[in-house]
Amino acid sequence: MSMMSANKILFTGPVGAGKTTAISTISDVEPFRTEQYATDETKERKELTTVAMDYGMMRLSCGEHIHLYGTPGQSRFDFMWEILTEGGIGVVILIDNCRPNPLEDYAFFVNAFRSFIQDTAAVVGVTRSEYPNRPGIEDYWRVTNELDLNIPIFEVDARDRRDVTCLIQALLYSLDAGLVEQ
Amino acid sequence: MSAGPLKIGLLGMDYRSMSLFHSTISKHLQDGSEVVNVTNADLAVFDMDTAYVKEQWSAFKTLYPDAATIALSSKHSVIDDITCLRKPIDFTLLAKIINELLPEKNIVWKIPDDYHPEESGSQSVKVATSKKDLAEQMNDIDGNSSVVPLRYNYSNIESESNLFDPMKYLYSTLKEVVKEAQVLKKYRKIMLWNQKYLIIDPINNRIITDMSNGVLRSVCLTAVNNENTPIDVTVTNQNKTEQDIAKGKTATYSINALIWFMAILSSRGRVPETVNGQPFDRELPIYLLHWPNFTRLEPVPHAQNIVSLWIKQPRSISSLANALNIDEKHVINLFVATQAIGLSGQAKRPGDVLFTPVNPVQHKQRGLFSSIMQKLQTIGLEKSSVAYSR
Repeated sequence: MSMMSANKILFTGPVGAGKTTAISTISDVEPFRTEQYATDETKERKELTTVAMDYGMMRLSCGEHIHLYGTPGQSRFDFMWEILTEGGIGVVILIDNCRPNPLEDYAFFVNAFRSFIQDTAAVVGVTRSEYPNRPGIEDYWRVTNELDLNIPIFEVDARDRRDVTCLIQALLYSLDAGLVEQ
Repeated sequence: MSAGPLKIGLLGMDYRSMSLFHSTISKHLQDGSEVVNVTNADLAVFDMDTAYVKEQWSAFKTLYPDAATIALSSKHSVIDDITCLRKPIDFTLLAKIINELLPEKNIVWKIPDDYHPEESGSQSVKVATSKKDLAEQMNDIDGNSSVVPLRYNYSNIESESNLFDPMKYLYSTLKEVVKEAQVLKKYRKIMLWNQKYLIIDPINNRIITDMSNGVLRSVCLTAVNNENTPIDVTVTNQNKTEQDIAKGKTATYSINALIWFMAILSSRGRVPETVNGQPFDRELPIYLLHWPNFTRLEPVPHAQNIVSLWIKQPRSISSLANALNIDEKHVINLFVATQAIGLSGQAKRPGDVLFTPVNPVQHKQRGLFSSIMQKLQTIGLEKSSVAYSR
């Protein structure tokens, strides 16, 4: 499988945000995961963590395939991020609203993929947003203004197909506003 | 050999207009652009709608008679002997003028072949392109320098049935009470007919009601804010709220989701007479601050389509509908809903009408994107009303 595969959508975000889950939700094949037992602070959140990437795929009726790549969440794997963006359609950034500082996570990942976003498009899915005393969607809008961007930000459940498809739709419309609704 | 960034001097514009002008030019230039003092610029642009800029123009031309200059105006084609490029600016015309003013710069533009500014309805004016003689091509210019409306023609006959007064509908009252509750961080209870209630819980961002879905829809469809409908707003608290919930059947909604839903039902595709208490002019552009949180809001047909174009630049309702070839009522519904939750409004700043809106440019992978959209429909996206209480 070539990293240069065209027709790919990238899923990124911090550890535990739901990248692997979101890919599983819309993939036509059982996602291929590269996981190992977590040994760092990640193990406090989950037993297994992605160490290279996740891979899923959507089969289209025209015969094309859309490759879905999930990046590892720890920043020490950031060398993988640039490789994975090559030839990508756009990026889905998932943010876990229950992490200690989700707004910082959001700004970090937007800046990490900034040049890719400028050439393509991005959408943001905020997971675990139902808990009280956590940042609201207005806080993410405020940070978006500070980042001088205006990208779609939705509250999502990565297990919910409607939510994940809504994210992908927003990504496509951001790329082509004249796309006709099916 | 690279010409380097185009140095532009801007006079008479507010900060936002300058920022928009610079970013629009820059993204279409291979070598980009930078804003500098007019005396050091390759090209000086004067906004003649601002007070005293005409005098500054005259002084500048006296000092630098051969400088490349462009005058902008939303009102006049000619001011004294100064020929103006009309606002909103047709970007392709602007690029052509800059090329003619600065042939030695060998400017390379990055404008897609299918980049089409829409017809603005204003008179198009050929502008003198000579550095020395701004009055060149006067014969081609319409001698009528009176104000030409920048507005778009109505496609629908404006009649009372196409309009509604938001202040007569419950969602407007709810909006005001929510605002008060959020500022004071206190619970509020709205009673209708001394029977049905809406409790606003600003702490947990929710509204609790004992109205069934059917009753709620009926209330939204009717102008209830009148002397025949007693609406009482009282103070309540968390304990009382929990008691009310325990008493009988209630439904809980997020604040924005319910206001959005009520606004759509109350509008039903009709244009609001007022927005934030001010008369609404449907011919003028409307702005959108952010993408709405669509996964948690009642679906509106073509909503994401509309937003993806609208978010780029303020546009009028008819401009959005025409560019996307959709019924205006969907744009109106979306505008009313977004305005109800504070995301949109009537655009009034000069920068909002600086450039003529551009119709969407087809992406080279549109065919692929259409196939992906088709696939997404089969993954289980429901077309019917989404449960907005989560």
